[in-house]
Amino acid sequence: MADYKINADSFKLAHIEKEAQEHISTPSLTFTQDAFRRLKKNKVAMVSLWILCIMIFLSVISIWFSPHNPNTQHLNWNNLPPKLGNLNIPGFNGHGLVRGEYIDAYKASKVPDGTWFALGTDSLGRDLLSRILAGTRVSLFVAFMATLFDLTIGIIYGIVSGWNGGMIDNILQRIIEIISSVPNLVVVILMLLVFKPGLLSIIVAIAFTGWVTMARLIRAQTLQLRDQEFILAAKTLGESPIKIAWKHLIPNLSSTIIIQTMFTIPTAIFFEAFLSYIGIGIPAPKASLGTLLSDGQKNFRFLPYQMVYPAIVISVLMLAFNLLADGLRDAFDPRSAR
Amino acid sequence: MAKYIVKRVFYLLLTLFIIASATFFLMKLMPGTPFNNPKIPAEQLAALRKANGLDKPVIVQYGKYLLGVLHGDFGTSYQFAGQSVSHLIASRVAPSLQIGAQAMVVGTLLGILLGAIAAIRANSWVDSVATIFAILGRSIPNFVFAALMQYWLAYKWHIFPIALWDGFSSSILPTLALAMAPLAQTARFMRTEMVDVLNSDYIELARSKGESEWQVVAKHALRNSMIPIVTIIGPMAVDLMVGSLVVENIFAIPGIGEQFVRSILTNDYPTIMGLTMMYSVMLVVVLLIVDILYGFIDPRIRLAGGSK
Repeated sequence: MADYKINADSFKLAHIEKEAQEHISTPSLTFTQDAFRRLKKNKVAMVSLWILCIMIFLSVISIWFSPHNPNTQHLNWNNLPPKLGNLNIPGFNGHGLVRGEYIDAYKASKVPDGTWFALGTDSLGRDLLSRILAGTRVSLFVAFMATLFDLTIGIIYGIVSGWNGGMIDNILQRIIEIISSVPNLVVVILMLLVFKPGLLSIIVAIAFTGWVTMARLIRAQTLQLRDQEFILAAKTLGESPIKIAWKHLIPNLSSTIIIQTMFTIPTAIFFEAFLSYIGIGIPAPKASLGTLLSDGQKNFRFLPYQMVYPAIVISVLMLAFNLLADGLRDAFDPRSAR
Repeated sequence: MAKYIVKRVFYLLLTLFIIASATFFLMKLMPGTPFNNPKIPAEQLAALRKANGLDKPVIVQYGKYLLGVLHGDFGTSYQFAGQSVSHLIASRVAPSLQIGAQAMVVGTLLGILLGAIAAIRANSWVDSVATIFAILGRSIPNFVFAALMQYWLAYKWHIFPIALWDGFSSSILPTLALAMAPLAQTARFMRTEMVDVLNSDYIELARSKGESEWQVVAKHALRNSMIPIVTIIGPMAVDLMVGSLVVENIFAIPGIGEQFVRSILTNDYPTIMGLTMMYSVMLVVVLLIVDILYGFIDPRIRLAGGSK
């Protein structure tokens, strides 16, 4: 047997870097980052998000850059069909049906060259596009404010109820039970009858009925979180309940809050439009999507564009909010079924 | 169970009492009187106020009102002189009930069908179409639906009557407009439930017994998926009531929704109070029935657990 020399080198440790072993190849993600990563993969939700951003941007920027003043009446130029500059696109060339004939409505109304209304004018000669932009702004404002209110009330109510438990919880829950068994619509209508119709009363009315769902969800979650170790630790360290709620409960409730908020906004938009539509919402001359729809409805048969464009805007807005809300829910709560 | 029902009925009565009181005092706070014609002389105004009991102290009016509510008497309408509110409401209930019931049936049945098909063919194009349909139905306000259908189906193509309440054919469009939201809601709910059920063990068992896919779906999956639908009937009824306000207006249907809007616009307090009470009673009773029914249908549900 040939003597086989065992090389001492064989027993040396292979070249291993301690650091390399522990190296984390991808950055660690917080819960929120992870959720947004999932959201970004959801094409429908991202498209909705972009559409919403664009709509919000346009409606806000129209405060300064509106094609026309949304409230200026041109009584001689009423009910003009849409016209886009001098482009001759059917439906946007300023031609309208008058007594069975297609004529250039702009010429007939003696509108000077160079003046045009991209989506036409309403029965008082106001530019429809400007009114839609202003109306979207009002509707969004109402929806956001109402949601903000009902978020604040709902979170505080839910946390107080869930955190304290016992007698307080019992009383607060009975109150919720009673409030939630009154039809929303009845409350909103009664409130609008008592207070003068206007932005503030609509916001209050919508918020007043909307917070109940949020309060319920928050309470249920608080009940679960309350008995967990990290809360016990915070208590042991002597943190005040308010600080615990702010620092420990709310961050853990954030996904519930975000999802519920996203579902509340379209509901608020709908309610505002609905109230304005039946005539107890935003008072004239202020435009909102609801008032535009109800104005458009009056001339709908002969001038369908006056109703169709606001209808498209509100539908797209509602769709985008709902789809984004769905996407957010899937992103924040991957276990939830579709 | 009996204890639960008694408790729920107690809350129901308490709720209704609170609503009745709240509406009364809110109406008292309201600006404007029903007799705001400046031409009415002072003594005639006093007589009118006396005839309507408006000269008595508020607390007396309140007592009288509560007593009347118990008897289903809401006083006389300001808008239609001499008409009692209960009579006015009674004459308008039928169209609303008809449309509401039709919309409920159409919406739920089509929704169940759509949801079931989507679940059976999950992740196929059928599923996508059903999902899109459900999202559209949920997002687009029903008054937009109503107006668009009125324009195209009635005005342009003359398939259905435009408005007016005249026989069954005139109830089709309002029914469809109202049915959109329940349809979307049911379809969505049904799909989720059915997908869960189709993945469960007992369906696997049914398949391994050699039953055809059709039998599996019809005999086992469908029935079990439909149970939770009962829970959304309550919210659905609320949506229908809200929807009926505008839809009845658009199609000029002489129902309670149309009356409600008109009473609001004309400050007809007694009618508003009467209709508010009626809506509340209907809603609260529907919610109670649904909750109780649910306990009977599915014994696994512990009623004591949650309120909703």
